[in-house]
Amino acid sequence: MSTAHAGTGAPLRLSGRGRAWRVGVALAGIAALVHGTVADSDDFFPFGSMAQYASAHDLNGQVRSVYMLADTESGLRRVPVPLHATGTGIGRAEVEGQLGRFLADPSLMQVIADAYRALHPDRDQYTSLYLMRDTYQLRDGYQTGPPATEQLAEWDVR
Amino acid sequence: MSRVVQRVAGWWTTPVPLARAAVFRTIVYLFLIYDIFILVNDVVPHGYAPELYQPLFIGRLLPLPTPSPALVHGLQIVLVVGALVAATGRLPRLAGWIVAVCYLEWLIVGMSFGKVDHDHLALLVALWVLPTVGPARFTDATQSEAAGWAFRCVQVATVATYVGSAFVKWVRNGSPFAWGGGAVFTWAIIRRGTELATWVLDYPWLLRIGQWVLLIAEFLSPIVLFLRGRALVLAVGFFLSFHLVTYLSLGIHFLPTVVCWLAFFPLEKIVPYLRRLRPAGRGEPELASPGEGTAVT
Repeated sequence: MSTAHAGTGAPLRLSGRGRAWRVGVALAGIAALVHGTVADSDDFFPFGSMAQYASAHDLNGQVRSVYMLADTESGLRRVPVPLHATGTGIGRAEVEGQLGRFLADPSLMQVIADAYRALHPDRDQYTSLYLMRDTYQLRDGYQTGPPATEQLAEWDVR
Repeated sequence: MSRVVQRVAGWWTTPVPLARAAVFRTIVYLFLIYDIFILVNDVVPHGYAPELYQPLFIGRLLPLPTPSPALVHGLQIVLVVGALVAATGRLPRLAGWIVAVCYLEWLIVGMSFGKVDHDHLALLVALWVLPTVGPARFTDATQSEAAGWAFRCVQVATVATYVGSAFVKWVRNGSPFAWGGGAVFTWAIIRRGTELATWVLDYPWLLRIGQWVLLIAEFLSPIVLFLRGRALVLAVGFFLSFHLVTYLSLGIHFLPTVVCWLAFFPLEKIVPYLRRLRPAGRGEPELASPGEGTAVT
């Protein structure tokens, strides 16, 4: 136990075993991180790769952005759906991360409407959801003109 | 033991004062409460959308429960109580381990819905190493190798967040520096740029310079582990400025990593400073005064 008075006494040393397991754990953690990085996979969280914004993106490529619009019970048409933690609890990046599932089965969009109803029962609820994508064209790193907008899926809320 | 092994082991367990561990612990556990309510605040909503749960490797390996309202609210309560107890320095091992386990599960629920964030590595490591330090008072200047190991782990995890991201850019793009010449900043600003940032889309060469500077700094970040004094302050200042810029331009903050940069500094020095601010009298040394956490976070 330490004393209340400062600065007295010799340093507290670790036993040989205490030092050995600590260094072993640290090196194992680094090995796990190296593994996650070389595999380039988020799947190994918390030892996955630090892959945020790691893809280079072509200077003449396209920038795609997925979002959702909704019709509401009060008759509003195509208002933005708040795809973030306090809006629907599901983030835009999470929808993009599971985009294939949403395209294969648009009924999955019901989850978004249900979550919105559970989180905000007092708000104007959704009657239809539209999964949208904007595509911007780059040329030599410059954005050229407005995006091309397409509707990927539609779902009538039950 | 050969000399090299001895030196490596010595580096990992370079002693630090117990008071530093006490101060860092209070900051980390108070920050944790902020984190679960403000930063990783999608966990409770995730409890209401189990259909979108896509378990990660760890969730497939271990029999973790599918997110439910009961699970996420239960975790929230245990984390708040546990973090408050641990922040005072009481039950450092018991409260610390409970918080470490529950927070890992909290993050797993947060990250198992199609998107994994990368700003929590150092904070998570901090929570898993701090309980091993055991009792530590705010006024105890005794040097401890156990505390030293905990700090080294947090420092390495903080740096790994940067150098790891540099190496994965190499892995993904096929050569170490291909990323620097791409359009990733443009891509990020088009998708989620704030009003402060959109003007720069007209100057893509400026963004490419920024990419190069960042990439080089990330590769060099392990040097920070060996810096002292002014050089250390400048290096940490660079990375903190980077986070400020990405926060203002993209709304990406990396605060959990920012907090862990504190593990590079002699935090115990704020204790006498804070005591001078308080009126003279009895101060229970092992209790966090209310201002203690807020003054530094």
